[in-house]
Amino acid sequence: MNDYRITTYEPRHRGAVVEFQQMLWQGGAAGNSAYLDWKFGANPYLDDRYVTLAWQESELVGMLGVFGSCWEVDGHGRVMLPCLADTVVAPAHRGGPLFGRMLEWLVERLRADEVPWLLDFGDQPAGPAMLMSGWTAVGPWPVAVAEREVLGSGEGEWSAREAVRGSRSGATITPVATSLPEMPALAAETRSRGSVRVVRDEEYFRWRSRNPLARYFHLVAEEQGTVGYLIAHRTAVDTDDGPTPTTIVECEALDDDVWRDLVEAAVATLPGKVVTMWVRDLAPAREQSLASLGLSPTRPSGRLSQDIHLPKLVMRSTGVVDDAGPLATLTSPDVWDMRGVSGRGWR
Amino acid sequence: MSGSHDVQDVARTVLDCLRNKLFLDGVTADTHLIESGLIDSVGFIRMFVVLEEEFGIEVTARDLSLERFQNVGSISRFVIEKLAEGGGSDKPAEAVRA
Repeated sequence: MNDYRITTYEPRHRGAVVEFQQMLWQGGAAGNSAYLDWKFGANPYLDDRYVTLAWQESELVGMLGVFGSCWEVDGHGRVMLPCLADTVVAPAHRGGPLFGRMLEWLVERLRADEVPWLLDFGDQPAGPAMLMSGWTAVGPWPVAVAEREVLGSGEGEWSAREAVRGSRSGATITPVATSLPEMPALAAETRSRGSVRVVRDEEYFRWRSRNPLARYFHLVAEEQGTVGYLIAHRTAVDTDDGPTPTTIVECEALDDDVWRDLVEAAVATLPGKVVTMWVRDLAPAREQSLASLGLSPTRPSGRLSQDIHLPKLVMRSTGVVDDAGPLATLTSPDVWDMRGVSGRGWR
Repeated sequence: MSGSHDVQDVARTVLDCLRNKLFLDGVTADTHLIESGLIDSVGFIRMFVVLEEEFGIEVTARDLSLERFQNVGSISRFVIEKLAEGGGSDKPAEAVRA
């Protein structure tokens, strides 16, 4: 039962992966194939070299997806850090040593290539075991949730909606079909509260928006130019009245009133029953306004069993971190600015 | 749970919880919970909830280590440490909503 063979991904494994991942991706053969290409092939920062597969004889029984994320680190410039994602173990092999073995195999490869860290923003069932096996947690942090009547938005309908005027800022808030160049430009203007932040340039926006298994909804706020934007994510494999939430993955604005108006417009118009957003790295005035917008924050209780589904970052050093360099401090919660990062934004 | 933090009393209660609340068949005081494969990650979460309810303690992410949750003995020592720290809680077992 434990005679597993662990390998890297190769193109000849494509069919097996597309079929195996149906239990997670649920996109069908064409959708899963396109997602595989987008997540690991078209990723601007890392190819599929670290995708890890486990086999029992000729049967694929486990997979660790590893995709590239790019971060700006003060004093260091840009750095690619691999992220764990799309991890699946076949039901008959769960609860055993397979997941841990795949992780150790992967970490060993990263160490050999002098990649210092492996990140995981996911909601791993194996979370406690990971934390007992050398992984470190940053977080969890609060998430805000709004539940409404189900709102729908069919193909093409979002961008056909009328613009509204922000109730506080007076800015014109317009639904648009895709991200605009003004959005990464605005993201670059916002002041960071941490020394490590995800790169949000045009290349990143372009790659993210091409996720074949996701729908993105964009709002832009304008007042003599672009003064804010909001981007929300919803999986493309669920209907608008399905259980998956719509997640505000980022919202940037030049002032608090515009920010508030964008979030208010989003809560009022995004499809789905539930809208969520991470409550971290928000300016105090913005965090305080959430309740009036219908978003109720759920804050960490400190109890692992209760906080297990709150967003967090877990990370594993591969053992090649330069102790004197800026990447040595990544386990400190204070260095991270998670704006623009959302687990769902990368699914 | 009484004020006595006798390790044997705690161990008996821990073993009882593992058998009768987590339904871990065959578990003994010497069973290595992880190596035996009796408990997986989801099972650990359930175990934390049971320990919290039974002893009035809180299990946090910082408490996690392989050594602490290896067997009945190590779990018992962890519980006693928590009780000695005043790691009990009057808060209800639910995440705090603002």
